[in-house]
Amino acid sequence: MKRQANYPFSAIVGQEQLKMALIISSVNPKTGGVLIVGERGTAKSTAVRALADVMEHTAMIQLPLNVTEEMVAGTVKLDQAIKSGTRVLEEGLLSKADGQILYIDEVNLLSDNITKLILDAAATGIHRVEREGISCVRPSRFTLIGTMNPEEGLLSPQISDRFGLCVTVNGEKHVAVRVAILKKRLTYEKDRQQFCFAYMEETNRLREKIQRAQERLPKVTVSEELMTLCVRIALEANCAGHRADIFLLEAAKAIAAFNERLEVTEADIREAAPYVIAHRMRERPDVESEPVTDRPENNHRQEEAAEEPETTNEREAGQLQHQPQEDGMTTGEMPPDDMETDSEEKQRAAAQDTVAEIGEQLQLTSMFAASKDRRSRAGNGKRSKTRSGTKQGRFIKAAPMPAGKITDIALMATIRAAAPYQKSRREDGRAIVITDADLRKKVREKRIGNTLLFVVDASGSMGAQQRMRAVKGAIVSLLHDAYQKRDSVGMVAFRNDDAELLLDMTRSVDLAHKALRELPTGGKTPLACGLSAGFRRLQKMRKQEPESLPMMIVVTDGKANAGMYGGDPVKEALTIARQIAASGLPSLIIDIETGFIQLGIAKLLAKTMNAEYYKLDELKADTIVQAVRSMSSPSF
Amino acid sequence: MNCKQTIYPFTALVGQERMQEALILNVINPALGGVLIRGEKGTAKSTAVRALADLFSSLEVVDLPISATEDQVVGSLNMEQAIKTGEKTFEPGLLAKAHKQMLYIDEINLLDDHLVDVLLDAAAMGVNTVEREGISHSHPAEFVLVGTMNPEEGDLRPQLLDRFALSVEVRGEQNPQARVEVVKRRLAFERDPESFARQYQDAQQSLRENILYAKSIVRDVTAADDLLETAAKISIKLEVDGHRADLMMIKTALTLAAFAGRTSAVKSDLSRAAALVLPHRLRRTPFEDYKQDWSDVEQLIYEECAV
Repeated sequence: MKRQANYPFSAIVGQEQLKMALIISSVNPKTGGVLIVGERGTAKSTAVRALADVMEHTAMIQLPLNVTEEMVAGTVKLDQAIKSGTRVLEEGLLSKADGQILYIDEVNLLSDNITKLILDAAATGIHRVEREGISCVRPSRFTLIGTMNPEEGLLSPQISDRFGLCVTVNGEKHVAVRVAILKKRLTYEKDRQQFCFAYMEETNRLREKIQRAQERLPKVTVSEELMTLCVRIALEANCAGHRADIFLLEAAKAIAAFNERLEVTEADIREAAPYVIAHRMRERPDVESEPVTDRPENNHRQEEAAEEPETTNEREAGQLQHQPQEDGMTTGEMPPDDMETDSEEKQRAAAQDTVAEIGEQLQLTSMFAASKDRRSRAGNGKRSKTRSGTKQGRFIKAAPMPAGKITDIALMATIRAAAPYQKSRREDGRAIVITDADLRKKVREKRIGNTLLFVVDASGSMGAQQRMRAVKGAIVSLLHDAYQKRDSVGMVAFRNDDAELLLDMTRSVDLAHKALRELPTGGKTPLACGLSAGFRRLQKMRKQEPESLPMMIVVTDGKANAGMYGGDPVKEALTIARQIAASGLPSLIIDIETGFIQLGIAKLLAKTMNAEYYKLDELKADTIVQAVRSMSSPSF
Repeated sequence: MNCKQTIYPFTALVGQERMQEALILNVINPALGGVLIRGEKGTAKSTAVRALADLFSSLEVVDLPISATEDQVVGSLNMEQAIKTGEKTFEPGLLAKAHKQMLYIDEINLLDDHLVDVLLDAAAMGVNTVEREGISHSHPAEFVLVGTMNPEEGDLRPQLLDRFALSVEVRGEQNPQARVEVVKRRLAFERDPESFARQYQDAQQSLRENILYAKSIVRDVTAADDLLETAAKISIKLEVDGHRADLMMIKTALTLAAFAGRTSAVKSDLSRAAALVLPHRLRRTPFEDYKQDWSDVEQLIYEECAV
């Protein structure tokens, strides 16, 4: 019952690693599934779908992004409930996927709740149903295959760690290969059936080879020595836990079996290592991190985190050496030009734009552990509260209707709740009798939570005394929080005579991180321009998405010295601050003024703007995160 | 009473040739993959789409309003059936309606993220898979995606951007004479739509025939190896992500050749195709917001295609 001839596996040109990873996981399901990471248009999904055709007895269960929770977990079988009043389990996708391949396209876009359900099952091999009066356990062993484009936001390490294997795919760089790809694709699109037919023999051969490998697999042995090698590789890569060792071993066994051998060789392990290790490897300064590699800041033990800034700096420094530095000054030794006069600054502005590295992130470890905890407790409550009254957002599950207003009914869930009682209720000829207690509402999740716009002072005075470094550190900690909460972030930088929207609203913290890393400093301080640019952007946002919770985070020392309309720079800034206050836009100012003589303009600005006010010096990263979080509470 | 409103004839549109061409190409070859129209308000974007669909009785424009809910888009449980009989049946959504039709999304850049996701899902596979509210259902959903956006109001996610085969930039007509003509025709149309439409009957008919002929030969148009090579080279030089750009360039060139009545694509087809396929695919960093100079790109295309 093929609905359409998929592109054949063996007709995929190049992408050898991707193909091998898929073969390994189909030969040996114990390798823990495959995560395919890559830019768009690199045959990710094509390969997965093609694999399903190769595997004869394995079905590919696709989990679409629009899935709702009860479809994943299983629920009460409706007809049975209505007819006989008994609760029987209607199997969910997790049960259906038992022994099969569970395929999630764009796995990084899946709702958190659902991802968690799937990962729990993937980890334990069983799936517990505890809902609507049904309580049972179902086997749920499946090969998880996910694809993702890192541009769309990353997976948290806990999730990527579940995938045994990971491959990164890129577009081919050789003309001849690209032409070959084009040709095959065009021939395929012209006549799919015929194209597939031409590859049938090859597909069959591959299928048989995989089947033979599957049969051989239980007999494949590994010497003690090679087991030690696996462990050593995992240790060297500093992988968390023991998962890497085991996956590595299993992958090597699969490779041996696929190559028709009964004993694992060292070469097998070396071949398997990149698939297993790359996305688990942590902080090795000499290795540029892969898109999915654990974001080192996220789940580290304290002592590892302590080493962190150094490694970042080393990497930073390495990159920066390639940048032309007209005056030969390295970023580490920026002069304390705090007290410098205007004219000097002007002269140097063009030549001396510097890029400060990202500073201090030490507190992140404890901070994130704590924040995660809080989040799971506050959980959906906050989200749905913020979203109440709208029918926007993705419907993820049904919940009992709160007393009072009845909106957004999850009909199927309601009927299901009423079903078991129909036998006793049915009196007046109605097909189904529903009482208030049965009503279920849709719980929706909208991924855009808050919108944080950073308005960052990038003027020369900020470059002083490594203040920019500290500022960047603080912003990064906010970015990581934003990432977890799926907020969108943007960044406006102001310096010289202008403010620039460096990064428009995006959910890709990666991009924000990059923008921040490369943020140059130097020149005058057009504070009014910056505030106004940020304000305009957020006002637009409020119009476009009335449900969004925009917030402006201004980072400045307040020493405005460039105006917008040629007036007094500070006065102009205060005028805009008043407008911001009047609009009710929540804002927060991080004052970075230091030194002997402090003008306190930022503090005045905060008062005028009705903004929360913090001094950077007194502030630890987690305080900032706390502050932002308290501001984004539903009361706004 | 004539309940079918007379629609402004496609052939009466003034200017915006690129947009017209891009739309026609998608009608000739619906597998091409849609068009994204970027531009200011009031540049006849929506008129053009509707006008084109009006040429063919079988072609419909399905609107996806940005306020649509996910249920409305992917489909959901049929309420009536469920309440009356307790049976679960699938109530098709907009994606089902859009099968073999044009799916038109005005201001697509303002569309909710989660809707974009499901849209991508369906557009990628040509199938809409629904797993919700007790319904497991999948149905074909091959549609020509036509989106419009005003870039000033925000960007589109790269992933969705990449799904569009073509993109065109529209601007208000700059030539005063042409502007006058736009207004004149519009006024004439509003005064008496039917007789206005009658004036264009012949032009409409011949365009229709052209498109139908192109449709009939598009599968047989071929591209020589060196054309494929040129496309690949352009992609590599511009460092566009993945392979979709190459494929789209070639498919567009093939369709352009078909529209010209030829059965083999030539370099000039490719260079025109590149101008439609590449603008939204150039790699951007957050710093260079589209600053990769288009004239450099044109130069490159010209050089590659001239050889």
